[in-house]
Formats: sequence, structure tokens, C-alpha cells
Amino acid sequence: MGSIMNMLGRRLILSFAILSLTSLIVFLGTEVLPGDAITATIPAEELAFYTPEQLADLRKEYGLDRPLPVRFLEVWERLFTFDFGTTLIKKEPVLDHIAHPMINSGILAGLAMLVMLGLVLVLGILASLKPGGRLDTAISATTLFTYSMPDFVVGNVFVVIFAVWLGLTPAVIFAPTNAPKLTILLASLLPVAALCIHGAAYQFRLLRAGMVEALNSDYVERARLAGLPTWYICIRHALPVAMIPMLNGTAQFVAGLLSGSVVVETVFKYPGVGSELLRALAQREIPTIQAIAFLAALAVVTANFIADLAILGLDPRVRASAQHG
Amino acid sequence: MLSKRDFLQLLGIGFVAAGTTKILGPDIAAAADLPAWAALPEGASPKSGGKLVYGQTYPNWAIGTSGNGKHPYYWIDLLTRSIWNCLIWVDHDFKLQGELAESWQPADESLTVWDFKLREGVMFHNGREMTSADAVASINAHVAQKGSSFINKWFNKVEAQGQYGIRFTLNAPYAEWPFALAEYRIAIVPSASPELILTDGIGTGPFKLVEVDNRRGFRAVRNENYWLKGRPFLDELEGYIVNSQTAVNGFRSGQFNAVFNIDPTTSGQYESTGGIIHKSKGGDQFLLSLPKNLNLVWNDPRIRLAISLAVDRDAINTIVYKDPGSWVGNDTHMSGLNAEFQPRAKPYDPETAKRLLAEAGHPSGLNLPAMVYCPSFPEEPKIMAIVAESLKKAGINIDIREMPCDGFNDYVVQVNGPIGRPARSLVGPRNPAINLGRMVTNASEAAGWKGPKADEFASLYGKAIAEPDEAKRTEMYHELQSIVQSDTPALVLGGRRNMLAHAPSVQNLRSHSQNWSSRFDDVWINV
Amino acid sequence: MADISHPSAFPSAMRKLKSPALRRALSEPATVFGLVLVAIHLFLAVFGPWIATHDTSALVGDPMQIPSWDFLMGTDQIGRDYFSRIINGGRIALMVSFFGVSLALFVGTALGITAGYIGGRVDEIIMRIVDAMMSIPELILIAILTLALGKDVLALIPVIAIVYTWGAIRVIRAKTISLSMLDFVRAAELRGESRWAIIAREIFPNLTGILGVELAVRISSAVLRISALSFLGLGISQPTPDWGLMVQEAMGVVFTDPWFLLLPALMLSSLIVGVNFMVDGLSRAFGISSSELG
Repeated sequence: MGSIMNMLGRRLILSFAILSLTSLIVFLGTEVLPGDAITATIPAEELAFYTPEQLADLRKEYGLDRPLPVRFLEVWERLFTFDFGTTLIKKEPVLDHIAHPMINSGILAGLAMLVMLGLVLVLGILASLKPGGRLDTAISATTLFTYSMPDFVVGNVFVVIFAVWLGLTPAVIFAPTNAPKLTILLASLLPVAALCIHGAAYQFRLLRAGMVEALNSDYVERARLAGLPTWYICIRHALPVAMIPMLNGTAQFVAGLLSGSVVVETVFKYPGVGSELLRALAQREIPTIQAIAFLAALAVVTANFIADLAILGLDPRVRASAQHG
Repeated sequence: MLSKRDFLQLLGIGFVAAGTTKILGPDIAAAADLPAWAALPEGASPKSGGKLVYGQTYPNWAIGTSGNGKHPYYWIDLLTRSIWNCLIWVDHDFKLQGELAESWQPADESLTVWDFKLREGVMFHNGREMTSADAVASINAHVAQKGSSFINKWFNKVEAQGQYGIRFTLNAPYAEWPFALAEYRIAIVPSASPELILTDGIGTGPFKLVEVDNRRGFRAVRNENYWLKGRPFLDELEGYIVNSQTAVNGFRSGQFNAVFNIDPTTSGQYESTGGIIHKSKGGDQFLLSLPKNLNLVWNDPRIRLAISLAVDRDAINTIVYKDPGSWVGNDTHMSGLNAEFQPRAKPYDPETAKRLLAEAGHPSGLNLPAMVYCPSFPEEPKIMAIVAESLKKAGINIDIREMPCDGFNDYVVQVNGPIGRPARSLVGPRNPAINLGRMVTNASEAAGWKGPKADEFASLYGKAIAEPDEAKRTEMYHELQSIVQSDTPALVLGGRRNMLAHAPSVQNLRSHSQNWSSRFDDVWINV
Repeated sequence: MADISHPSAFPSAMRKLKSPALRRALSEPATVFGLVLVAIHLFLAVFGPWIATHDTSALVGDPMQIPSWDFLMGTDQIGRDYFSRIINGGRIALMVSFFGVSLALFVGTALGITAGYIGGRVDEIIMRIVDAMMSIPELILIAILTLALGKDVLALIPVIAIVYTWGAIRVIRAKTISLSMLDFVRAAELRGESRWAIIAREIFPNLTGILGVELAVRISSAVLRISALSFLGLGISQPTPDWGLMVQEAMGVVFTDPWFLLLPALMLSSLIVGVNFMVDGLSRAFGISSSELG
């Protein structure tokens, strides 16, 4: 037991280190590169409009005169204490601008994750019951097709079908950013569906491959010889092992989900952080961009940590090595 | 989602209620007190009740700078007359009408002192009566907060004259001063301390603000004490910022019963579901500024003229607005709906353009520096593609590049300030005094215009706006346009018009050439 | 010959096996379908400008015409030939994706082999950086990079490269580790060959299969990514013909002219489906397990 705690502690420290590295990357991307890349980002025909003094001023504006490590430490401290500073133009607190959108996006992504996991589990099991069979082919082809469509197309087609033609949901989400979270949850249903339809394909492939492999393994064969029913073998014996490759990809999965939600939010006019990010980007609101990027990375790292715990619970080999190691 | 009210209406209960309590009687009786401009079209039989929910594809350009949507400057869109009123309103025919001002006149021939008489008995949403003190405080706040450059340049002071009179003193003669007071930002609000005034969303307008998230939308309800008696007809008003596609989806799904500033190329999406399109005669126009303070090829006026003559503006009107043969830009800030507008003799003349290019030493065509724009209006990328293509036909190659709109102005003036990069700016349709003045006062649009023609223009402009006689003034306005056209300091594409779509049940909702002068107090919904 | 179930174990033997594997691949209709789709897309990407009947940006007729002999797929909203734009609508995105992903794989292979074969502290450092990079959602990373590198089609190449490098490192590292445990690598080590020689002669040749798969899969995913970027205003902008942009434009008239949306959507979709069918079939035939792919 103690060694498991030990392992958890190591993971936690690792997560912390990864987040620190992430904030370094965000810092480098937002504060250092633009300064250094000032002339590089100006197309040749545009350099005509710059005087050398203006170029120097531009560099100064990005604060390149102060040493990098000092500036990074400041940003690091800000991010890790959740004090995200103020916006550049009106000096309004960044947190006020992004708190509600962040929560709303969290609701969207969290719900999408649950729905997608459920969907992937059901489809994965169904498809692996008879690999190469009609059902498997149908599911595999459908998920590949929905994956091949850009998410904003899937989203828009959903709006056209479910909102405009069938009138089941609103086509445009009117709820304000600070609306009651239950309203937000209801509003998120169609966006979640669009997100899942597009995003489930990849997870499905991973799970299906794992299931097929597991169902062909010796211990499943033994269980089969023992006369256990197929569905029982699938869920009790094959699934836990088959889920491990999928769980290993949790970081990518959650990161992909957050990326996808930026697009889907725009399609549905969902009051999430995606539009906040795009606006911050257009206005070079660097403190806001840093805060959003850091919080997104925090979500990914946290999800990955939880997935590690789940793997620990699912895989007897990992558990054993933790106890002995 | 269905509100309780919608639900009742579905059951027919709301219908009965609306039909019995607020029927026409009182409205018609009150109509006698209304100013003439507020009269409804002949034969109109307005109904009270209902909710107008509009989609808006053209958000307020200033939203990004503040989260306070209760301030008229940061209202979700430019249609501030839903909540507020100004002293003056510019009507659909471009005539000045008294909104909160009942009458106005210059005190003397000097045109530097202007007296305004306010309407009596106008109530703010908070129940207080509007008086000259509020008007003075509002105007002072607008000057302090730089609400409109059309005002600050002339403004010296404003004083109360009794309870319902105010007097402006200007620092130079200005014959068309009242027009500037019709700007959508120059709302009259309750007087308050400088840091609080304008921030609470209280006005004298037809609707009272309930809730606003200026990056998304607002909800407002009927102002029962509106000063235009019997108005507004609608119970509720809501507006939401959307993109072109979301607007179509929202309209077709029934969430919106109106959409402002539709992309003209999507008009079929509204019409095929029964929507009605209304086009105004004009709208914001695109001005392409050509910085002349740097060593660029268009410093030669022949090349500037060649560029202008090579732009097939009628193709824009035909393809995008489906209005072939209507007015096109004349390279001044004037638009075709100005009575004083003076078109170029032959706006599209690629042969002359080629000849001019050859004379200027570019017989085989030339490459221009890139031009940036941000698609404020959804049809703009299509328009710019047409411009670039028609220029290409005359041998003029230009990359017209799309940029995000938030932060666009900062990007433009980031270098070569205050003139900035070659960029398109938006020219709102206004009167000649404001329009033509921009070539004198706006550095980035004049873009370093110098020389005898520029000097002649500036001095004649000063004379024109100090001229009390309207006929003489108009003559000068014509001459000013001729001077600009002979030197082409900038390109104005022209022909753009505002278009809105509404459900068939929505009545009397009209697109205004000044998008921001749209009104909601004369709109009703047929149940 | 048929009894060699792990061809990758014997690089020299594998080379001989190639054509039977290819034959095996070609016997599956799905693989052939994928190959044909990819071939069509490659052909269009290379010869598109010569197939186009009109200049892609020229205004050649009235807007929104229905297909005719002059305009095989009609005209778009401002009167450009839709056929020519459809044919050329993938070139920029594919070009950007190809160079971006190739760059990513080049760097990814170098770092992945280093991490996987050298191991130890180097491996630890590289992989923690990979973890950190991959915990930033792709789109946010791209957003930050466009801020730094500017919004320009050419700037998209390094952006795509940076985004796709990390996944490539993971895949290559995993494969390198599994290869380095195999007998022929051990044998080479016992022969006293240098690390560089082992990497060049024993490891790298066995990575070519997986690299091919990675290239195809990542390019198709990058094309999708770019279309989403264009939708958000961060990618390709007007008036470049681009399926992502065309889909977006067509959305505006979807209720009256759905075919207008169908064509570019079909082009995008057929590229992705084609690549995936092709890669699935070929990797089955060449014995690359799908669980190795990132």
C-alpha cells in the first residue's frame, strides 16, 4: 500500500513538473517569440511602413529589456497561484472575464467526455463481438465517415437537422455567460452530441483494437472453455485490459476534446471559453491567453492523473509492479 | 426554449389577452400628439404585444474594450435607440428630426451658438423627468469620454437655459452642428457623477433593459412611460450577436423574427422560408486608404486615378447586392443617398486606367502593396475578391488580405502612425459636413494627402461649413467633391447597402442607411 | 515463407516479402478503394491547375449557376468557376500539411530514436517535454503559435510541424524500444557496431513502414485541422480556394443549394476516408499493429 502512495506521490510531482514546463512553453510562445519574431512576422512589402525607431519601440513594448528568467518566474507564479492579472486594455481582472466561460466549457467538455466514453464502450464492445462481421463493419465505417467530416460541418449539420428541421433544440444558444448552470447544461446537449460524433472515432478504434486483441488472448480462451457467456467474458475479462491503451491516451483525448469544443462552441454560439480565447488572440490579450492555456493544460494533466489511477485499478500487472517495486 | 408566455400564447390565452386589453383605441387617440416623423405608413393598423427577437451580424466595434454593456458605447450593437434616445434623429430620407429636442436654431449668423429646446414630460426608465441638467451632464460626459470626434472638434461648452433649454457654444462656425448630435453614442442619460454617468443602462428609450451580456445579447421590456405616447407596440425586445450562418439557422428555426445586416448573398435563405428582405439605399461604405507619406507607387495621382477607374463597382452592386445600375462610390466619403452626391463622369473605365498607367511608366501593369481589411460585414470578403479581380484585369495586382476584426485598428496604426498601413476603413453614411470633413481631420483616411489640391480642399471646406445659406453650401460641397476626384487621395467603393430580413408577421421594420439610426418604437407584430 | 509471422524481425527477409504483402493488400476491396481515392487526390494536388477549366479566382459568369458545359459544377456566390475551385481546393492545405508533417516526422524520428535507443536521462527529459507539449490542447497551441509566427499560409507550415512533432516522438520512441530488444539489434551490439551504425542500419530501416503510415494519417488529420482553423479565422483566408473555406461559405446557402456544400465536404471527406482505408489495409498487410500508432 505504501508503495502505491509512493507511486502516486511521484506522479503528482511529475504532473507539477509537466505543468511548470507547460507554463514555460506558454510563456515562450506568448511573450518571447513575438519580440524576437517582430521582423520575421512582417512580410517584406510591409517593412516599408516601419521606421527603425518603430521597430525598436515594438521590441521595447514587449519588454525584451528585462532578463527572461525573471519574466518567466513572474508568469509562473501568477499562473500557479491562479492570479491571472488584468487585461491589457481596460485593466479588468482576467479571472472575471474567463471564470464563467471556463465553467461553461468545463460543463460542455465534461459531459462530452462522459457521453463519449459511454458511446465508445458500447460501440467498441458491439464491434468486437464479431470482428469483421456486418455490425463491426457498419460501426467502423460510420465512425470513420463522421471523423472525416470537419467538426464545424458536423455541428452545423446537426443544427440544420435537429434545430431547424425537427425543432427539437434551439439553433442558437441565447443563455448569457453567467446563466444558471442547469440552463447551460441543457443548452450543451446538442453541442455535446456534435462533439462526440466527430470525436468518438479515434477512441473507438483504440478500444476495438484492444478488445480484439484481448478476446484472442489465452485467458479469455480459458474463460470461454469454462463455459462463461460471451457478454460476460467481454465485460468482465476483456474490457478492463482493452481499456488500458485507451486510458493511456487520456491526455490526448482530453486535449482533443478541448480543441474540438472551441470549434463547436463557435458553431452553436455556446457561452464558453472558446470565443473568449479567439477574442483574446485577436487583441493580443496575452494575460488572458496565458490563463486559458494554463487552465486547459491543468485540466489535461488532472485527467491524465485520474486515468493513471484507473489504470492502476484495472491492470493487475501494474498493481503488482507497484507493490513489488 | 419555451417561456411561460410563449406557452400561453401557443394555447391561445396570450392571444386573447393581447387582443382585448391593448386594442387600437388609445393608440390612435394619442397619435395626434406624436411628431410628424413618428407617423405610421398610411393604412397601418398596428397591434400591441409580442416580442421581437433579432439577430445582429454587425456587433459594436468597441465591445472588445469593455465588459460593461450597459454603457451605450459598449452596447452589443450600434442600435442604441432601443434603450436610449438622442437629441436628434436622422430619418430614412436623411432629414433631421427632433428626438428629445423639440426644436433648435442657431442664435445668430455666426453659427457658433446653438439653442435647443427639449421635449417636456420625457421620463427616464428610473422614473425621473429628463431636464436640461441631464442633457448638459450627458453632453459633457460624451465630450469627456470622447464619444464622438464629430462633436469634440467643435465643442466649446454647453449650458442649461431654464428647465428645458440648452445652449451650445462652439469654437468655430458650424452650419450643420445638429447632425452630429444624432450619433448613436450621444445618448441623453440621467445626470450623475463623471465616473458613474452612462454606466447604468438607464435611458429614455422605448424599452427598459433587463439583462445584457454585451458579447452575446440583451433582453429588454416595454417602457410603459415612453414619451412617444402609445409606443412602443412590442412588449419585449431581445437582440443577439451572431455570425451569418447562425443568423440563418436562428431565423429558420423561428428563434429570430428579424436579422439585421444579413449577408446579401444569403437573402435566399430567408426568403425561401417566407422571410421578407428590406434594403436601404445606402450603408457603411468601404474606403481604401493609400498612404502617401512613404515611398510607394501610388504617390503618383495618375496611378491612384487608374486604380479607381479599374475597379468595376457595378459588378459589386450586381453580384453582391443584386442591384445593377445603382449608385457607386465617387472616391469621396459621400454616398448616393446624399442629395449633394456628385458621381464621377465614368466610374468604370479600364481603358483610361491602362492609358494612365502607361503614362505613369507602368505600361505592363504594376504590383501594389498589400491592403488589409477585417470582414465587419459578412459580404466583405466577396466584395474584396471582386475588387482584386477587376484590378487584375487592368494589370494591377494587389493582395487584399483578411484580418480578424478585434484589434484590427491597432494593427493598422501599429506602424507609420497615425496614417498606418494601407487598409480599408468603414465610412458611415452621414451629411456632407461630416463626410467631407474626414478628408481634413482623419489622418489615416486622408493618408498623408498633401499639395495644392489638399490645401484648396481644406480651406474651401472651412468656408462651406461656415456658410449659412444652404444653396451656396451645396454648391461648395459639389466643388469639394470635384477637388477630391481630381486627385483621388483614397478609393471609395460605394454601393453597399444595409439589408435586414424579418418574418412576415413583423411590420414596419425597415433597414436604415445609417444602421445605427434604426428604431424599434414603430415596429409591431401581427398576431 | 508463409510461416514467417513477424516479418519485421528480419529486415532482409521483409524486403523480399514486400510484393506478396502488397498482393495481400490489393486483394482487399477496402484497401483498393482507399488507394484509388488517395491516388485521385494526389493526382489532383499535382495536376489540379492543368485540369481546372478556369482561373480559380476569376469572375467568369453569373453567380450561382447550375452545372453546364462551360461550368462543370456551376459557379459560386460571386461567379467563379466552382469546378476549378473544387479541383484546386485541397492543394494549399495538402501542401502545408505535407511539409509541416514531414518536418514533424523528421524531428520526431530523430528525437524518438534518441529517446528510445539512448534512453536514460535523455529519454526522461525528452519525454517530459513531450508530455508538457501534449497537455496543451492542439488548438490553443496553434493559437499561441499563430500569435508568435503570424497569420500567413507559409507560417502554417512550422505551426503544423510543431503541433505534430510530439505525437511522432512518442510513436517512434515506442517502436524503437521494441526494436532494440529484438535479436538482430542485440546481435549487432554484440558485434560491437557503433550506436550510429545500429541506428542507421538496423533500427531506421524498420521504422520506414510506421513512418509511411504516420505520414499518411497525420497529413489527413492536418488537413482537417487546417479546415477547422480556417473556420475560426486562423488558417487559410479568402480568396484562396480551400475546401474548409468553401464548406463554410456553402453553409450560408445550405437551405437553398445544398449541393454547394456537398462537393467540398465530399472532397475533404474522401481524402480522409481514402487515407484511412489505405493505411489500415497496408498496415494489416505489412503487419504493423494498429495499436502502435499514436
